[in-house]
This record gives sequence, C-alpha cells and structure tokens, in this order.
Amino acid sequence: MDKLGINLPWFLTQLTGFLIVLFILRQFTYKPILNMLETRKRKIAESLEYADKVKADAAAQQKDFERRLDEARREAQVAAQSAQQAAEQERQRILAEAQAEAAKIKEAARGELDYERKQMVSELRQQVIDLSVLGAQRVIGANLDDRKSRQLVENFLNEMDFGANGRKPASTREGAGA
Amino acid sequence: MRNPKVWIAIIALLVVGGVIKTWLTFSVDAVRASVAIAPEILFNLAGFDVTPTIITLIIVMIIIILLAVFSTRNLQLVPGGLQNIMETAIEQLINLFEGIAGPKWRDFFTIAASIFILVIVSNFVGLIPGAGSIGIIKLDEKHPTAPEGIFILGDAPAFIHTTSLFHKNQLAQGVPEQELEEEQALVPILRAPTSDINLPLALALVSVIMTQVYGMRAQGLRYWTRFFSFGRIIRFFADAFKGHFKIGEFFFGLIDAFVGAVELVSELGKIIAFTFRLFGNIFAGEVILLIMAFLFFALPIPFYGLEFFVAFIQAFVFAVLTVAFMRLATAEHGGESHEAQHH
Amino acid sequence: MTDHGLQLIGAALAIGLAAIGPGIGIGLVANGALQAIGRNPEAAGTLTTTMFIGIVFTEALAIFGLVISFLIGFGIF
Repeated sequence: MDKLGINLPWFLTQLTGFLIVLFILRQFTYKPILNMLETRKRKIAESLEYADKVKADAAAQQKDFERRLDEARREAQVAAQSAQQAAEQERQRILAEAQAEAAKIKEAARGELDYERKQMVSELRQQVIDLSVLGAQRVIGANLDDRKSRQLVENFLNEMDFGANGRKPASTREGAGA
Repeated sequence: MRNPKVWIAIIALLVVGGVIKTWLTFSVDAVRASVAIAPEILFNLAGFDVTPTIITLIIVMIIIILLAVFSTRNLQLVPGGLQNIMETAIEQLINLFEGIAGPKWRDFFTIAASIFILVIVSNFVGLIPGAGSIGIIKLDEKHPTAPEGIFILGDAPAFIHTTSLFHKNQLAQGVPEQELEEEQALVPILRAPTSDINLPLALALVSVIMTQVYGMRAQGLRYWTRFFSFGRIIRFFADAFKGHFKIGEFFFGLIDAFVGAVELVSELGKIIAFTFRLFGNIFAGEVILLIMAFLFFALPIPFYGLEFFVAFIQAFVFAVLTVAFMRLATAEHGGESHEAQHH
Repeated sequence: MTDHGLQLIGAALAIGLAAIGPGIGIGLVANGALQAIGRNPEAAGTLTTTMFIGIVFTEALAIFGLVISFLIGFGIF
C-alpha cells in the first residue's frame, strides 16, 4: 500500500478536493444551468405553441379573406349581370317608347293631313257654292236672294252628301254632275 | 486560427519556453526522469508531505471553480461565451446519462458529472507541456549535494545511459570514483492528480459507496439481499425444524448465498477496477510519453494526441460506468420480488 | 542472470501477455460494433458509446497487466 502511494493524508486531501469541486459545481453550475435549461425548454415550447397559434390564425384569416374575396367576386358578377339586364330592359323600354312616339307622331301627322283635307274640301265647297250661285245668277239674270240661294246649294250638296268627312261617295260625283 | 490572439499566445509561449530553457536550467543532463508510482514528496508543510499531485489538484480545483462561477455569473436566456460552452457540456452529459439511466438521471447527475469534470480537467492539466518535465532535484540523506533550482528534463538520454554527464561533472570536479553519487531523479512540480493513486481511489470509493446509498434509498433494506441472500437457506432450516426436509431447497439456498457472495466480491472488485483503470491509463500515458521523449525527438507527438483521447475516454468511462452501476443498483431485480409474492 | 534481470523479464512478460487477450477482445468489440453500424447506420451514436464502454472493459485487463508490470519493474513487490 505504502509503495503504491496510498496513504491517509494524501487520500483525504484528494477526497476533500473532489468534494469541494462537487459542492461548488452543484451550487454554481448544475442548479442554475439545469434551471436555465428547464426554463428555456418551457419558453421554446411556449413560443412554438404561440407560433402554431399565430400560424393557425393566419390560416384562418387567409381563409376568411379568400372567402370574402370569393363573395365579392360573386357579388360583382351578380351586379354586372343585373346591370346588363337593366340595360337590356332600358334598351327595350327606350325602343318601345321610341316606337310609341313614332306611332303617335305618325298619327298626329295623319290627323293634320285629314284636317287640312277637310279644310280644303270645305273651302272647295264654299267656292263651289259661290260659283254655282254666280253661275245661276248669270243664267237667270236676276239677283237672287243671296242667303236663300246659298241655302239651296247647301242643301243640295248635303243631299249629295259631299265632303262632310272628306270621303267622296259615288253619289257625290253624280250630284256634282247634275 | 485567424484570431491574432491565438498567434500572440503561441509566440508568447515559445518565448517563455525559450527563456526558461536558457536561464533556468542548471544541468539538464544531470538528472534522470522520475518514474515513480507513488507521488514524490516536493516539500514538507507543517508535517504534511506536499506532492506534485496535490499542487496540481489545487490548480485543477481553481480552474474548475473559476469555470463554475464565471460561466453562470449572469445567466442569460440566450447564452453566449463561457455560459454557452458550459451549457453545451452539461447538456451533452445530460443526454449521455439520460440514454443510460432513463428518467432517473437527475439523481446521479451531480456525482457522475462532477467526477467527469474533475477527471477530464485533471487529465488535461497533466498533459500541459512542462507537467512532469519541469521540477526540482530533491535533497535527501543520500544526496546532500543536490543542486538547487528548477530544472527541465532535457533531451539528453540520461534515462537510458548509465553514465550521465552528472557523473562526468563530478569526475571533472575531482570527486573520487568510489564516492560517485547516484543519479538523482527530477521531481516534477506538476503531475496529473489522476496519476496519483489516491484520487482514483477516492473517486472509486465515492462512486461505489454512493451506488450502495442510492440502491438502499430505492429499495430499502431489501437491497442488501443482493449480497446476503440467505432467505432460502433459512426457510430450509425452518422447514427442517418442522419436520419436512426439502433437499432441493437447501441446494438452491446454497447457490443463492454463493451468488450473493460473488456479488459482494464483484462490488469490491469494482473499486479496484475503477481505481486501476483510471490510474493505470493516466500513469502509463505519462510513462509512455517520457520514454518516447527519450527515444526520438518527435516521437511523443502522436502519443501526445493519443493521450488526449485517453484523457477524455477515461473521464467519460468513469462517469458512464458510475451511472450504469447506479442504475443497476436502483433497478428492482424482478426475479426475487416476483418469487417473494408467490411464497 | 541477476535478480534485476529476472525482474525486468517478469515485467515485460506481465504486460506482453496481458496485451494479447485484450488485443483480440478489442478487435472483436470493434468488429461487432462496425457490423452493427453497417447494418443500422442510424444507431451509430448509441453503438459508438456502447462500443467504447465495451472497449474500456476489455482494455482494463491490459491496464491491470501494465500496472502489475510497473509494480514488478520498479521493484514495488
């Protein structure tokens, strides 16, 4: 034993050295570092969880956004369609209106024409009356009572049924000829 | 290696080495390397023999304490510098121990990790150039005229040659041949504490005794049935007292007792194995480096690298075996408890 | 032959003979470990650790021989 170098004081010195090292390492290194590792592990787990949550949130937001985008797109489509329909309706309406207007204008023009013709017929009639009365005066040489002779021609024309509504029935020509 | 500080440090080391070599050597050739299993005594301090290993142990302790205190002085959540290194080391140890002992690693961590750190730092300090080769020549009754001062074990093959320059010097000084002194051995100032058998023995005892403590804490008094398993033989005698003789029970009882005795011996053998494995590896490494240095100029370099590897592996193995034995001791040995329930 | 010569022969024999078995043993351990790593490269980390433990147990025998050799060689016995 002695020749191997084992002796009590040296042994105790080395043992004490080891125990001091053990105590100091435990107090100053293992405890704080193990705590720190634990804390860090927890922190990392927490931040991973948080990151997951944020990622999930982002995904949800993305989904929501896409959904809304879709909705907007669909709405726009619907709006465009309805606008198209409205335009078509408007077109139809305007067309119909225009047609109606045109018809009305045509009608009005025809009415005016009629009226003018009637006017012309009645004027013609006056002149025919005047002419016939004048002719008759020349024929008989007397001054016919103006009023009375006019009345007569008038009646005759009425009997001939001439010109009251602008139409010329067959009898009118016969009457005029007579 | 781009760091200029590294180069400055290397150059400074070389300059210091050169200065030491030129100024401090007295007579390099005069001394022979000391290869002694028992650590040499440097000086006596109030009745206590101080050895190189004790001085080195104090240096090792200072290094570890500084590391321990400075690495955790202000702990940050995001580590940097020394804290990072220490944390990485501790984490590696945790992974290692967890792989061996499972969730029980926490119980064994303090002792095993401390053993690892102390052993690895001791081994590395023992490998510092100069440890083992810078020393003093000790005066004793046989050598009252030894030169004083600090010496470097030089490149002279004094270890191999029987007649050294010291003898020639003595002859030249007119000392009669029959009064020639024997060569004197250089006592190094630094020597790895692990190459002194006391530290490995202390660590082995701590490891084995704490294994028993943990075993008893885990299993109570039943733990000791592992070594003293006389249960069956006592049962046999109890039965025999009542009148039934079961010869089979008797033989099984003998086998149990024998197995227990073997366990006990192997437990004691563990102390010896732990001690001599560490001591033998480190001491043999030192001797090999010394011998290689005397054989050829650059021969120690590959062995020096090997010694670094050995220094790490021995620390690793000491810690790993400690944890493995502690786990074995705390594990229930299923067979016996199973049987106990049946009877 | 002097006593010292016998002592040195004893020391050389002690380490020489003690190195034979562990030499073979370490070869076997490394062989097994390398085959296992070759078959299952993912387990290389664990296998390396276990291999080193195995090597150290084997090597311990050689170291015991070496220590005995030192003890004999330095005349401690």
